[in-house]
Amino acid sequence: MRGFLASMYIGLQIESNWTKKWVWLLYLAAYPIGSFLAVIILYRVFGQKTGLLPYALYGTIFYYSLSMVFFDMAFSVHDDREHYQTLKYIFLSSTSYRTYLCGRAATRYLIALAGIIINLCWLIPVLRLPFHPNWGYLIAGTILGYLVAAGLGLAVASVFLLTIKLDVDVVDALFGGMFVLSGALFPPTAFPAVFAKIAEFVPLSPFIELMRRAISGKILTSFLSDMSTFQLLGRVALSAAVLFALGWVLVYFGSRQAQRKGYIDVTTAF
Amino acid sequence: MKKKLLLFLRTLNARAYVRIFGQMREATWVVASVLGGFFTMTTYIYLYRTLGTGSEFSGLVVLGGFMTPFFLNVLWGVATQLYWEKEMGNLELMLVSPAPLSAFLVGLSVGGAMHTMLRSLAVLFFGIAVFKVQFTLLHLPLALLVFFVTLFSMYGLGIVFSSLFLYHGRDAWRTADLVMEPTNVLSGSYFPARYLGLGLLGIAALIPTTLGLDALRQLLVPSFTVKVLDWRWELLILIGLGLVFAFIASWALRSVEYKARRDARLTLRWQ
Repeated sequence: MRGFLASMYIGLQIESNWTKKWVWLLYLAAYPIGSFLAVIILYRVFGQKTGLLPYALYGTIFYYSLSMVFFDMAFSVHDDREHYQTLKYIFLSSTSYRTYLCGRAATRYLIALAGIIINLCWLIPVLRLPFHPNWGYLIAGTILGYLVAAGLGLAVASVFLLTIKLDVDVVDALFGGMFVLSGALFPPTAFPAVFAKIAEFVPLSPFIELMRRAISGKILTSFLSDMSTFQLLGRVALSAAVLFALGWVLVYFGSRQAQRKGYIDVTTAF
Repeated sequence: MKKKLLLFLRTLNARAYVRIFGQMREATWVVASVLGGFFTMTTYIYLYRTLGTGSEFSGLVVLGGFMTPFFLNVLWGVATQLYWEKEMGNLELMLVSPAPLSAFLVGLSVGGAMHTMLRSLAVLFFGIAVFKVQFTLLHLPLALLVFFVTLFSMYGLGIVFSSLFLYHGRDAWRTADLVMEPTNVLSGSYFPARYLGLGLLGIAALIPTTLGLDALRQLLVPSFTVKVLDWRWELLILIGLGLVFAFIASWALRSVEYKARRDARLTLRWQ
């Protein structure tokens, strides 16, 4: 636990100590705007009649909360190994690398959530978004969201441990694909039938839908509407358990292999 | 003078070479960046289909998808490059060499534009092939002229920012991260910039991609009517912006390099 908290603290320092605290708080509030600015403009200009703005906005915001974690976990491998050249020291420390990554992920997730909460405070009244939260589902979903994001992030980090030239563009592409399929921005029913079916099984889809229902208090589209909110929660819990366990195991093997290959302290300047 | 010019061109060539061929070394980099661009394009095309807009919007998004990699290259490949060179310890070597810093940056821009071109063309190809988008080629030479002027202006802006990044460290990096997506949205990559309204459009017009994309859409998408200005005016503004950016870049590079030397920030890493 001490190692986890220390990793969270390191994560917080890396994220915030480049500026004054008040500037960082402004940054924290402004950062998520980029993720939903296009949604607001497009749905206000072209999609007012569709009534899909709450669906897209909540979806994009909750997708953002996860994507920050994946990206940061993948990038932290590169950053610690190449940029700060501290990966070898983390491996030498008494804290396991998996605990370190989970601590970093927890900080990133909390920072993303803080940014989301700040922005929802103005988005909900200004855009008149439906807001009838079910706090139980919201809190459970938030905790499970961390496990989903950390699980995927660990899996990606394990790949990055074993490759010294892989660029974070790969993560962008991977999660860009998931963004399309997860139905974060529009209901996947717009896709051809095969892709619409695949969308239901993308690990992020049930989480995003659960959070939408938990915050808006209603089912906004027909996507996953055949499942009750409790069933969705069960599915998210299952995804979270499987992904987290998978990520945990992959980083275990990835770390051992990386140590054998001498990838822990290699610098390539790529 | 001849010696100086030769040195400038040699430096430019050397830096451009590394950028073009270095980026081709890993197939995953090329595949990932093309896939990333393609997925973004797909997202917005399906979004427009969900919103029930006309099919011409697919063409607008494909053109936006074609230009976006250039914007990302300017931001992450040119503007932040001196910061990365500093972090990797190359900057001091560059500064003690007789080669001018501006030649490094122009080389980066030329190389960056060339290697990004391949990726952008791949995104364009997949966009046309998968979504059956049609463009008119009647004004292709003019479109190419607009495109190259837009690149000149965009990379000029990148060099302006690179001097800021040289002086500031992680704060500039974070700022780039912060402005990346809003700037991409404001430049009208995913929708006609005219819909931004006058206030936002005034700010967005300072980003060369905004007017460049609008002009390209006028020349290549026959049904595109929601233009900001006539493409001829946009071309003139882009030339003006490019010249202004080139002037500011040259001045900023000199003065920031001087300040960075004075404050001993040129070799200061991890800040």
